[in-house]
Amino acid sequence: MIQINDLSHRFPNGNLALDSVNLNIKKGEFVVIAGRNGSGKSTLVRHMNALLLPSSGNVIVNGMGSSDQKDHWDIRQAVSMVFQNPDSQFVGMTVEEDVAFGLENLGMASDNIRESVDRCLQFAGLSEYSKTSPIHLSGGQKQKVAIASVLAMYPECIIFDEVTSMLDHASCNDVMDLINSVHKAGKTVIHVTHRLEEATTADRLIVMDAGRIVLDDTPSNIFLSGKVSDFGLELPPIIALAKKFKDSGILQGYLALSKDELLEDLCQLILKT
Amino acid sequence: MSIDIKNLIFSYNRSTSLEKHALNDVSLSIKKGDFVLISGEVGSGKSTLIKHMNGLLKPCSGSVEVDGIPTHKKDIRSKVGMLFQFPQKQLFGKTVDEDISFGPANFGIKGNQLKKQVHEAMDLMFLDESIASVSPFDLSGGQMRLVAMAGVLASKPDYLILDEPASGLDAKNRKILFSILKKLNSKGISIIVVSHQISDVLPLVDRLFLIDSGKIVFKGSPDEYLRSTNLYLPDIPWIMKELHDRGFDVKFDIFDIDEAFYEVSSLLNPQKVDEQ
Ligand SMILES: Nc1ncnc2c1ncn2[C@@H]1O[C@H](COP(=O)(O)OP(=O)(O)O)[C@@H](O)[C@H]1O
Ligand SMILES: Nc1ncnc2c1ncn2[C@@H]1O[C@H](COP(=O)(O)OP(=O)(O)O)[C@@H](O)[C@H]1O
Ligand SMILES: [Mg+2]
Ligand SMILES: [Mg+2]
Repeated sequence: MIQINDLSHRFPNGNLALDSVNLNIKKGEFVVIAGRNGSGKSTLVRHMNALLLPSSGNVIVNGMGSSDQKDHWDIRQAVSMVFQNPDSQFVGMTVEEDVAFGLENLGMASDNIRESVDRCLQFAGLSEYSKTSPIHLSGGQKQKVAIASVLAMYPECIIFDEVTSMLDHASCNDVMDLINSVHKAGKTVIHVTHRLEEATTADRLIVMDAGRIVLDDTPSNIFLSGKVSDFGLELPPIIALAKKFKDSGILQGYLALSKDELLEDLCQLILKT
Repeated sequence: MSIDIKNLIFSYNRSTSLEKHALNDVSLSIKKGDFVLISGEVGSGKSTLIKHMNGLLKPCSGSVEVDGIPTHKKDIRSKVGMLFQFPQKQLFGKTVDEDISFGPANFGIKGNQLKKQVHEAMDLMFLDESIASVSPFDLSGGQMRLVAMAGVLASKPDYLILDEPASGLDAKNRKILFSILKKLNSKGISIIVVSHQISDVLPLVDRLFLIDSGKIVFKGSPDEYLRSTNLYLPDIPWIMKELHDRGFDVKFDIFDIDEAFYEVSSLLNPQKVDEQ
């Protein structure tokens, strides 16, 4: 659904933030984009909904090129974005007003708005907070409101740019659960993060460095390759431990990608010996 | 010698319609030489709490004392150094040297003694003398953070508070930062790290305070934390604790991947591992 050909981006101050990037994202895919600070992740995804335009190369979303301004509205309708800091994204006095805002702007009938808002709040597990002011929510809940607001606009694809980076562990897991449900509901999901544990459920992991795509494969293959540290990233401790057992031949078969899987593997192994 | 907080209550915009209770009856004590972690989710009150420790905020009720002196007295400012979450905002000098000198000069240090303190602070942060005459705004984000930290250290604080120091740093720079903090702590400086993530910092610290909606919900050592039930555990100690709880003979106060690997391998094949 998103096709990127030879895309380069140079900022007005001369920074070359993207350097000949080629990428094809299929409808329904769950893609994680990782890379150290400044590697070009945000610049890349901002091209996917025409927030930035190519210095050279092109970006095609559902057959529409982002260089043609008349298609920008349709591109942004198809591809929505959620950012790191939820506070800067609120517009309503209550959670439901916030989620309704975009639909009201579209001039949708109020009965339909009600129904959409209720459905999205329920999907995000926020029904009980519909009358609460967003400022009284926790960081994780705020991020879920931002996601519900985007879902209400019914995009085909949602881009999450470091939405978990300000959250603690519990909220982070909550938000990741929601992102996974969004994918299961059939949306194309592009999730930008520097925490590789958030890639374990993705179809595909892309690692960026210095404005280029340097790795593009399944998360397992990339973890097993041992290459992520070359690009300023760190394997999640649990996967580093699982890899050690696998590399030393103690564990065989698939690489365990979660703590529950690894615990299960180790228990079985210990009981066998 | 300690920072002592008793029954601290604090609201922003007190007595207005925008009143926001940020801290609710917080009591804690941090001794000189301690290395502590204050953790909790975004908005839980961590930054509000530490801003009381150097007098940037004043309690609505309760007390905050540094080495027995209430924080509204000026003299505590030189004892408590604070590195904010976005250290770039802490920089203002025309050159790195001017920036780092500002704090100690402000506390009345002059001449050769000033030069010596600036030099020592740059040394501690692995900053090369050659950047002393450069504008801090021409440096990379990581270097700016080091300069800001040198600026705080140049005043020779007894307590160093860092608000989310690892955010935005990659794995390599996080390791460097933590080794610097350990070194400073071994020189007797108290280190108080604020972080919404526990796993990275927990193995380094003596004590941990967890804060939730303005209340302290846990205080204790990392070991007590690991032994507590229904608190979030980092993955490696979680695995070890689960194995231990299932009756396998493994230690569970393990954070290190290699150590965990060794511990489980020796359970699987005691002879082989002993021989190695
Ligand atoms: N508005 C801008 N003007 C100039 N340079 C920029 C701008 N935004 C980002 N950059 C630079 O582009 C590069 C890529 O940035 P970014 O896409 O934000 O990286 P990431 O999201 O991976 O941290 C960095 O070197 C950054 O400094
Ligand atoms: N200047 C301020 N005015 C009003 N409310 C504030 C201000 N600063 C922080 N708050 C609120 O106080 C609470 C605690 O904030 P803070 O101490 O910054 O939390 P943390 O550092 O744990 O993220 C939050 O709900 C936050 O929105
Ligand atoms: Mg970014
Ligand atoms: Mg804070």
